[in-house]
Amino acid sequence: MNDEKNIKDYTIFLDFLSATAIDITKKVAGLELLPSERIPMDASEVASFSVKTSGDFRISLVLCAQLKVLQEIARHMKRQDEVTLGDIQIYSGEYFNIISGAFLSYVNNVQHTRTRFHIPCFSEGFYPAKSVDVNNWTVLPYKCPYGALEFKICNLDE
Amino acid sequence: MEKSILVVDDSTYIYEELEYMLSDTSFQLIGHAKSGEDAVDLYENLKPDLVTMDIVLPGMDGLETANIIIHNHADAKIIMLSSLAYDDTIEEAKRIGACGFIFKPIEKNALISALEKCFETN
Repeated sequence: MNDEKNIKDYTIFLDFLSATAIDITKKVAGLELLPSERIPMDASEVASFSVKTSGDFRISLVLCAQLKVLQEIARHMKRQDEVTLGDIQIYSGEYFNIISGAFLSYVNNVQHTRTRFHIPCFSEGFYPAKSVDVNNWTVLPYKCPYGALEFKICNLDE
Repeated sequence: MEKSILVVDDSTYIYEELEYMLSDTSFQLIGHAKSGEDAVDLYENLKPDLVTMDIVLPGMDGLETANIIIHNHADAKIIMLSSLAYDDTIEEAKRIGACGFIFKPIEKNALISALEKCFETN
């Protein structure tokens, strides 16, 4: 039995996070995500969702995307052409919630850990703010027909 | 015969998705609670045939909410509906008396199969 519950190396799960993000984005938002090089984004054109976990596996997991992408996700999920910023918060937030849950379920079941997370928080612009040292974050960048999107993960115990 | 469903989920999207997927079935959504506390109250007022219950809710979580409803109404049928597929959560849901577990993202066939199975078993 593995007594080491404090998982330091979350990077072993990145392949699963990537596969899950691509699969759920297709199923829920109807979008094809393609892994790509990081695409420069302006803070005025992006928004972010973030969750922090508690328990055995403490990470911060973030979705940062161009508003055009989040808008398309919300349009598809709401089945309406017109969506507001409020709709983006609701629908794209749920999209990220589903990805977060699927990812953390995998980690918990594989590692036999107990990790919990809350409802995602929305913020306009980048999260974390660009002024924050982001050297300890791992970024998974993607592109789709509507623009750029990134998943970012950071170990809170480091 | 139509079966009534109370949806407990803080997400508007999930309610709308269930409504869309069940629109051509005999399952009818009769209420939407966005918190565990509201769910307990709405169950008392509506007495639905079945409840779909998210786990991560503001305030009281879905497992605790399900436990209260089943404690108060032994014949309550509750299906957990969540993106959280933790083994211990699924076991806890069974222990409480939930009649099924549906994983997000929802797939129509899996949803209807789980709902029908709930009414096949006592």
